Amino acid sequence: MKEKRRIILAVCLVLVAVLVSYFWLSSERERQLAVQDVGSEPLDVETAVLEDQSLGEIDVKLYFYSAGAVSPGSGFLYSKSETIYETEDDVLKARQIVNELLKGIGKQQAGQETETRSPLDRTRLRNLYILDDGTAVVDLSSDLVNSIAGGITSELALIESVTMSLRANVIPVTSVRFLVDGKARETLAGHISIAHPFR
Amino acid sequence: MNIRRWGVASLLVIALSTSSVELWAIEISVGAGKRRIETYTYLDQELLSLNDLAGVFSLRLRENRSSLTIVGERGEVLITDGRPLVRSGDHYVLLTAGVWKRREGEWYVPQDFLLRALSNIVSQKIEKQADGSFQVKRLKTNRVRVGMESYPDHLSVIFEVSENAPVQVREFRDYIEVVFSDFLVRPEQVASSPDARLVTSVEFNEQESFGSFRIQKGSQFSSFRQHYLESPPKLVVEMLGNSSSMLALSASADPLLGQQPGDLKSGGDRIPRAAGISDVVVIDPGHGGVDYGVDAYQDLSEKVITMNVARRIQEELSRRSVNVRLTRARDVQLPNEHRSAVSNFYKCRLYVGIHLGGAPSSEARGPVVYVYSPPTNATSGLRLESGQGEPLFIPWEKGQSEFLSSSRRLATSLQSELNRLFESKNSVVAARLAVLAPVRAPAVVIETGFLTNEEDQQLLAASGFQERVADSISNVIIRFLK
Repeated sequence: MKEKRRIILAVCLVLVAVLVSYFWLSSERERQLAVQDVGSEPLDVETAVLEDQSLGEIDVKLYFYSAGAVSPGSGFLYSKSETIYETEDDVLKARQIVNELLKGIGKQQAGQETETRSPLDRTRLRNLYILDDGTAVVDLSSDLVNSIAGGITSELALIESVTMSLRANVIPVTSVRFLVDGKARETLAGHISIAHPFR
Repeated sequence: MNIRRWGVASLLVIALSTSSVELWAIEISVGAGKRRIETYTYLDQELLSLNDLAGVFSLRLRENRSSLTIVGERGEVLITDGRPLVRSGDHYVLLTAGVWKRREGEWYVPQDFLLRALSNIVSQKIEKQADGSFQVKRLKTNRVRVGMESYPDHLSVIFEVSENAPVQVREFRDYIEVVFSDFLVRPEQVASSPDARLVTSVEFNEQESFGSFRIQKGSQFSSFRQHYLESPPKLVVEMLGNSSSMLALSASADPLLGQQPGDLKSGGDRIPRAAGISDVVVIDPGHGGVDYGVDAYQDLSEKVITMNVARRIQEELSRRSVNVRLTRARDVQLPNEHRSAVSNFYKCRLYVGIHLGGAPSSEARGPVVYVYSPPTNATSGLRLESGQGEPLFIPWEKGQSEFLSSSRRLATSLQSELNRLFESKNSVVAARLAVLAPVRAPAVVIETGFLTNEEDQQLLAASGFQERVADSISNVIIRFLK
């Protein structure tokens, strides 16, 4: 009789252990799934401010290099609509435009012959401000500049894309001046002079 | 008793000496025929009869008691009985064994005398064969043309050779010696030095082995560099000056720059045009050094192709008597402003930059010729004028402004010529190229195809196509200069 009671107690203990383990594992799995759902990209101050303003979204026209084009002028760039946060701050708007543009250029380059190109995913716009005379000063990182394909066409494509996109979408901007790593340089990437603003 | 002992001893010495000398012969192939040279094995050394060698190589022998002077076509060697050190011209040669005077007029030399001493004074090439025999061939001639080019920071001494012979460059206290081997050197033309401060003269030394050159150092010389170029084979020795003297050197290295504007206008024979423009065409091979430019597959980079094309243009134009200067003569990084400065230093008649294209898309292809496009809002800058309206001072970035239309004319001709070669329909592009802005002459930058395009890449990888590109550019330049 005593023997039988011991066996029942042991079985009960095992059952309790199994049940506890099951509930613990289930809750852990839910926690893991919840962690995965959180966005992996950190929220930058700019986006946080724009989300907080809650002004909705607007479409802007971005200009990208047309594959195969060699001469600036008609057909050198093509336009594409992108959505950005609506804002009353022109600098924030301009920053969003350049960031979207750089992302697009990065995808454009990464999508082809990746063995000879550096994708621009690690590059960032360092700073952007607009002067009273309508000159947008775009400060690019040297990472971005060093990762363009090389050659005059590549430099012209980047300059024209940024200039056209800002002038088309940000009303006060009439010209664009480029800095690299916060400094004025003779050329953007060895060929095109960036001593004066581009219109 | 003593006399008998001495006699026996002498006989023993003679017997031993005789037994240690063996008579053999080696064969020397001269052209189609063969000649035998007596050899003696003496104390384990195989010695050759100098009298036999004199017959084969047409040597003259002048004996002076224990020494002998051997006179060949290209020099003489002095040997001394029992000594392994022989004198050949200005140098001494140590042989594996001493030479041996057996008796009056009968001399023997060790085998390596042929290769190490005799080959320096005869006009034949001597080669040892695997079977121990020797092959004698008539020496081929290596015609060497010596030219000199003056650059802002150095003077290049260029040895253009007809045969790709091994060469050694050695530095001595007063001179740099350039020693060619394997072929008999025949100097065809030795240019005089354009600046005695770096090089006072280049002299040919016939006594040295196959012939050598001595570049005599000037008072401002500090160091030298050397590099070799192929097709045509060339050795370039760059004589560099000490840095403190370079500014002064730059001002006077080129005769044109030593003159005042008034002198230029009064007109020397070399200056056919007004306003101090020289007859120099500057070709600027893009990138260089750690700056590879656009990289492509198969270790193909922009800096290499631009240099190949630039050199070919230089050769082609020089052949047609055009005075061409390259902004960089070697694989070195050069900032844009230095490239422009070199053009203005020479007061060049026109400037052509050679580059290759790169685009975000691999579809862009063909040549593109660029001209300068000034910024629309640039200030006019400072412009001081002399009494006659001639500019005395032109801002650096405004140098090109007076040459925009002539640059466009040159660019249009180049674009259509290169379009024909590439079967493309590209147009001339005006862009704010930093290198063009300061150039005080018609100036263009040519991207001779896109390295990011597979078709262009394959074309540009071929040296034959690079030559065709260079020839097309040269033809347009010649037409433009007329």
